[in-house]
Amino acid sequence: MNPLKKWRELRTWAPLRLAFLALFLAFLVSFPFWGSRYWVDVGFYVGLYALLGLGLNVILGEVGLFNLGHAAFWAIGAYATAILNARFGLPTLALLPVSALVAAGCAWIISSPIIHLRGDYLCIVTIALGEIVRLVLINNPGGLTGGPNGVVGIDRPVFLGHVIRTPMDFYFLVWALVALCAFGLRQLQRSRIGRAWNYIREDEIAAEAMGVDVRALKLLAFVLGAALAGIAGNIFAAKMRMVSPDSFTFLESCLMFCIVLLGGMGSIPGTILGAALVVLFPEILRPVAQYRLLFFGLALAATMYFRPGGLWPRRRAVEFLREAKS
Amino acid sequence: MMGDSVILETQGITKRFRGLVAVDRFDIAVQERTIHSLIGPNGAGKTTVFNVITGIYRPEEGKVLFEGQVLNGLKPHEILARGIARTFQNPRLFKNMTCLENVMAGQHAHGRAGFWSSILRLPHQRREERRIRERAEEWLKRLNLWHFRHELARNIPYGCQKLLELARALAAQPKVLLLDEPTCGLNESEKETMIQFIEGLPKEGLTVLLVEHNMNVVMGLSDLITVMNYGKKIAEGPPEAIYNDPVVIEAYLGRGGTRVA
Amino acid sequence: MLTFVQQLLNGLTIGSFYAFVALGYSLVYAILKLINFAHGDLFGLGAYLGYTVFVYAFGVIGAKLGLWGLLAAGFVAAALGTAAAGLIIERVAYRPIYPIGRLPAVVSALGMAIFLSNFIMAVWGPRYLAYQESFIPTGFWEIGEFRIRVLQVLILVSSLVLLGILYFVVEKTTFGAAVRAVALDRETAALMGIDSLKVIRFAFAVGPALGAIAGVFVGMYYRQINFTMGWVYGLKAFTATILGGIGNIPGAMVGGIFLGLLEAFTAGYISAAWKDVFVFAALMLMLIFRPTGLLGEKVAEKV
Repeated sequence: MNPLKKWRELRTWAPLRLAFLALFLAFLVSFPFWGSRYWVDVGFYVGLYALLGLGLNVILGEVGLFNLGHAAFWAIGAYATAILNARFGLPTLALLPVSALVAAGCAWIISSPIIHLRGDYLCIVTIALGEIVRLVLINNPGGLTGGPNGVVGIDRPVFLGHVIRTPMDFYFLVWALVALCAFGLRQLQRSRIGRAWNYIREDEIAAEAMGVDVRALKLLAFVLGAALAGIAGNIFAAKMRMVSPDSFTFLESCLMFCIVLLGGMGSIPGTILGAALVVLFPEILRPVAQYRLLFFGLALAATMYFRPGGLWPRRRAVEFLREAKS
Repeated sequence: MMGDSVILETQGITKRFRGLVAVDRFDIAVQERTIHSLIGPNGAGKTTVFNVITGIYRPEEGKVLFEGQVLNGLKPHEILARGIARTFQNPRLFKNMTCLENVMAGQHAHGRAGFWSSILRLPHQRREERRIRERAEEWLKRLNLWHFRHELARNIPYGCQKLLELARALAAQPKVLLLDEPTCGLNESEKETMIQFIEGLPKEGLTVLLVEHNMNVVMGLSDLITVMNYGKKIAEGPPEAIYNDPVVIEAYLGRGGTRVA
Repeated sequence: MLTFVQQLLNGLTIGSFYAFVALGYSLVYAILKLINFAHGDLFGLGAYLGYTVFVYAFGVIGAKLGLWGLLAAGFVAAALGTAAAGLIIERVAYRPIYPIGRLPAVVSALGMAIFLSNFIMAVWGPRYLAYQESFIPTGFWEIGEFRIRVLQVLILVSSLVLLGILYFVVEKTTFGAAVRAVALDRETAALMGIDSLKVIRFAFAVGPALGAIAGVFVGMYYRQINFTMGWVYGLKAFTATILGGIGNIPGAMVGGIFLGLLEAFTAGYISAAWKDVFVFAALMLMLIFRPTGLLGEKVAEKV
C-alpha cells in the first residue's frame, strides 16, 4: 500500500487521532512554561486570530457568505469593551459577554437588509461596511470613540481575584476561549443547523426548496460569527489597554478571509492552522520585515494554486466513516 | 383508481419576465393520489409553473392552492413544510456533501432542534438526529443508493444523482411531489428503475406532478395529461385523448404535421 | 454660487479619476466575473511609474521635449508599464487559478493586491512623494470670479475622449463584439471560435493602462502620491463601478461622475470628515434597492 493511502486510512483510526489531539493540547498547555515571553505573545496572537477566523469561518466557510468586512465586528466588540470600561467603569472581563452581544446585535441590525445579496455583491457591501465602521470610529460621534487616537486606559481583566496581565495569562485566556468555541462549533457542524448552513453554501435554491429557512440561518451565521469577533475584540482591548481605528483596517478583514481559505472552508482545525500561518509568517520573515507582506501576497496566490481547497480541508466522507465505526 | 379530490391547484397564474409572458393565466388541478403530467414543447413554461408553485417565483396574477389553502406569498421553505417537494431538471445536489447528508436535507424541515440544543447535544436533539439519519438511510436503501452513502454527491454517476435527488425529495415526506424531467439523461435500465418507482408512489399516498419530455414515459405513467404551449394550457385529458389531439400534434410538430406512428 | 461651481468642477474631476479606474474593474468583471482586487494598486503603480519618468527624464530630455512632450512621455510610459504589470498578474496569478474556482481566485486577487502595494512601498519607500510643479500644467483661465485650471479641463476632456474610444471599440468593432460575446458566455463564445484569451488579455492591458493614466493625473492634481493610494481610490472606483452597473462602460463613467459629485458636495456642504461615510452608505443603499446599478437592467435569476 502506498504511504499516502495508508496515512489516509490511519486518519479514520480513532486512537491515532486522539493521540494527535492530546499531543497538540499538551504542546499548547506547556508552551508558555518553556517558550520565551516573546513567543508566548506570538502564541496569544495566534489564538486571537484563530478566534476571529473561527467566527468568520461560520459565515464564509460554513454558509459561503463572502464577508470581507469582518474586522468591523471585531472593532465593535473592542470599542464596546473600551467605552464601557474606560468611560463607565464596568469591569473588563464582565464585558466579554457584553461585547459579544453588542457585536452580535450590530450584526443582526446591519446584516438584515443585506443578507439576501449574493456572492460578490455581498462581498462589496461588507467591505463598505468595514470602512463605514472605521470612518465612524475616526469621526468620534458624540465624543465616545475618541477619534483617531481611540480610547485609552482600559483596565486589566480580573479573574477570580487574579489580575490577567502577563503574556502567559492572556495566552491561556484566549486559548481557553478558542477551545470552547471550537468545541461548540464542532457540535454545530454535526447538527441540522450545521448541515443546513452547508446546504446553503452548496446550493441556495435547492436548500430553500428542501425546507431550509435560508434567511434565518444566514442571519444566525452572521450573528454568531460577529459574536465570536466581539469576544476577540474584548480580549484585544484588554490586552492592548487601548483601542484605535488603525487596528481594524481592511487588511485585517483580508487576513481573516485568507485564514479561512488557507485552512479550508468550514474546517475548524484548518482555521486554527490558517491563523497560525498568518500570524507566524511575518514573524519568520522578521529579518526581511520590509518585504514580508510582499511575500505573503505571493504565498496566498501560490497556496490557492497548489491547494485550492485549503491546507486542512474538512473531509466529510472520512468523518462519516469514522462515525460509522464508532 | 383515481382520487376524486383536488389537492393542488393553480388558478390563472401569470408570470412575466421583462415583458415576455412565460406563463399566461394557467390553470391546473391535480387530483390526489394520481400521476398528473405537464407536457409541452421547449420553452412552453412548464418549469416556470413548478417554480411558481414552489415559491421560487412570485406570480404577477393568479393563485396557487394546496389543500384548499392559498400558497401565494409563502417562501419555498414554508411551502415544502406544507408538503410539496420537488426535484430539478438538472440535479441540484449538495455536491460536496455525502449522499447521506443530501438525503438528510429532506428531513430538515421536520427537525426542531435549535441553536443551543445543538451545541449542547441535549437528549432530544440526539434522538432527533438519530431519527433524521434513520429516515434518510431508509430512502437510500429503497433507491439502491446504500453503497454510495458516504460518497460525495458529485462523485456518483449521473443516473444515481437523479435518484439521489428523488430520495432527497421523498425524505421530506411530501404529499405532492413535483418531478422535473426525472428520466432525462438516464440510460435504459436507469429509466426503467425510475419509472417503476414513480409508478408505485400513488399507492403510498403520494400525488405526483410530472414534467417530462419522453412521450413513452408520459403515456405509460400518467392518469391525466395537461399540455401547455406559450405559457397557456392548450389541452387536457387522459393519455389516449391527448395522443390523438390535433391541437397537441400541431404544437409539437408545427402546422400541417402528421404523426408518424 | 462660487462654492457650488467649485465643488461641481472638483466633483467632475474626482469623478473622472474614479471613472478611469472603474473601467478596469468593470472590464475584468464583465469577462471573468472576478473582482480584480489588485486593480487599485495597479493604478497606484501607474502613478509611481509616471513620477519616475518625470523625475528622471526631466533632467535628460525635458529641455528638448518641453512640458507637453514630457507629459506625453510620462503618460505613455506609465500606461505601457502598468499594462505589462496587468498582463503579468493575469498570467501568473489568475489564469492558473481561475478555473479552479471563484473563491481561490478572490484570495489570489487579494494576495496580488497585498503584493503590489508592498512592492511599491519596497521600491519607492513608504513616504509621500511629491509631483513637482515643473512637470504639471499650472495654467488657468479666469472667467469672472471663477478659476478653471488647465489641468482640470485636461483631465475631463481626456477621460471623455478615452472612454469614448473604448466605448466605440467595444460596441462598434468586430473585436468589441468578441469582447461582448465572451462577457456574455465564455464557453459558447469559445465554441464560436472566439479567442477568449485575447479578450481577457485586452481587459488586463486596457484596464490597468487607463488606471495608470488616472494615477498620473491624481499625482498631478493632488501633487503627492503614496503607496496606499491604490486601496483608497480602488475602493471608491469599485463603488463607482457598482453604482453605474458592473460590466457597463457608460455605467462606469456615470457611476464615477456621480460618486465624484456626491463626494464633492457632501464635503462642501455637509462635512468633509463624513463624506466617505456618505459614499459607502450610497453604495449600500444602491446594492440593497437596485443591485444592477444606475444603468443596469434588472434581471431575474434563472432557476
